[in-house]
Amino acid sequence: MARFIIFDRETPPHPDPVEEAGRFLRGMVVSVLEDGAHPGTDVLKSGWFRIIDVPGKAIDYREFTAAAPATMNDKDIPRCRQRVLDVVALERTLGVAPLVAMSAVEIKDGAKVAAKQDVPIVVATEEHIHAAKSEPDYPQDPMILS
Amino acid sequence: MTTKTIGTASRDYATITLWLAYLQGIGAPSADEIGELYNDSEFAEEVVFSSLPTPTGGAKYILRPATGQAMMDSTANPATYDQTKGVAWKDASGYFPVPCSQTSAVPFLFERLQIKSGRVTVDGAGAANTDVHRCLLQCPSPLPSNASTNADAVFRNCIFVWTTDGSGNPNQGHIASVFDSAQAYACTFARYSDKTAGTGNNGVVKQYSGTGTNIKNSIFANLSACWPAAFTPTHSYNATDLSAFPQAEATGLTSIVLTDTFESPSSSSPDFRVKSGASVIGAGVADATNYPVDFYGTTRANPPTIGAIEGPAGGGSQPIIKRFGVFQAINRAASF
Repeated sequence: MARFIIFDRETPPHPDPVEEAGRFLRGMVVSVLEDGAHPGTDVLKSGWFRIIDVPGKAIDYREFTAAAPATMNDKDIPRCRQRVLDVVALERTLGVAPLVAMSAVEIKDGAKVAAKQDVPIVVATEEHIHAAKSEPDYPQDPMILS
Repeated sequence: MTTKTIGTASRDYATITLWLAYLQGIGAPSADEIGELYNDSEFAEEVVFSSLPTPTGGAKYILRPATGQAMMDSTANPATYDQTKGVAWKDASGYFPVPCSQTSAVPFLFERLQIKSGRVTVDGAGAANTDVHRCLLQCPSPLPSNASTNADAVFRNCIFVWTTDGSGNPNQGHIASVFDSAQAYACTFARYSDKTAGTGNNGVVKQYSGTGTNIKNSIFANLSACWPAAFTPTHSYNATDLSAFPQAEATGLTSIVLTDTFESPSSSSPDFRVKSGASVIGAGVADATNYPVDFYGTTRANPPTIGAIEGPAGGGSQPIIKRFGVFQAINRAASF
């Protein structure tokens, strides 16, 4: 199994397209960990990460992150992530309740922190992931080596 | 100030990217946000520090090893990173050299990181922002620039080394000034003595446009040029093994000798500590904009040694802690 850590927090669109290219969107796979890997105590508790175990190995899902091939924007900066999953559809097909504190930020000791909520680790099939997977909305640019 | 631990042993976040997502999620912080790396992991990620909200009240983002976490590597083969020994950062794919990119005009401090097989790209938008301090950047040639900065990014006490023969026109390690100042203070830019340079643009500084690039107290060793002659950075108190700098530098050292300057500049036994009696010792100038310590955390002499590593005090040999070589140990506290 591999472990998807999915960003599950709404963020308003950024007016700068370059900035927008680097942002995490709801449904983006932030990291793909190996089977059973601990995602971090904050990740398990915070309200804006969804943790889903999927069949296969982490290396099988490299396309879900920007690791390879990297795609550059107009400032020679790689896109943050290539794939966005439809989290709403995924939650519906998996029978998982949406995270209530999806957008919450709390103030603790004067600093902003993620609102805490236990995040369940759920198991999905390849069909679940395939059904929720979007295609990249931009062409796969060739690498430019200066 | 909020400190989050990063590593695979049940830290706050398993990857740097997850910490990044957290930072984006909380919105603009009003106090420093610190990510402290533990050597549970090699952090084989391509991390793009863009789109982070600008902190308020003078706060900044900081990424560094946690206290007691050493950045270590094999002296025998620096191209092989030993995950059990330290905190480093490499290109996950092995061929695309962007493990680290900071493109927002937000203040960021990268400290004591080892970045392999790639480059750190810091690209502000005119606001003072990124400081890369006491980092080791290794890059095989002919990949694109080892280090690239735009707009006010500053490299201090860093070592940049190219680990393979050069070829073509790789634009190695340019410090670019596009909109505003980009600076390198007390850095060592070097190619192994047994490796060859490429055919063009092998210098370190490439100032595309604008003004304000400043290079001071830095060594340029075994490169085919310091910077293209057409560009005119402000430069002083530097040292090179070339016969001359592209523009006159009354206070610099030219024609330094690699084997007289470094303990061992060869790829078979890399060690860029400065030899006792080297001409670069005490040849720099104290600078209020520099950090008070060198690559290892040693307090700088006044006047300081040119380059990233302070020379042996009083003409003696390096302290024993440093005899393991530059690639093996940066075993200091996270802050100084």
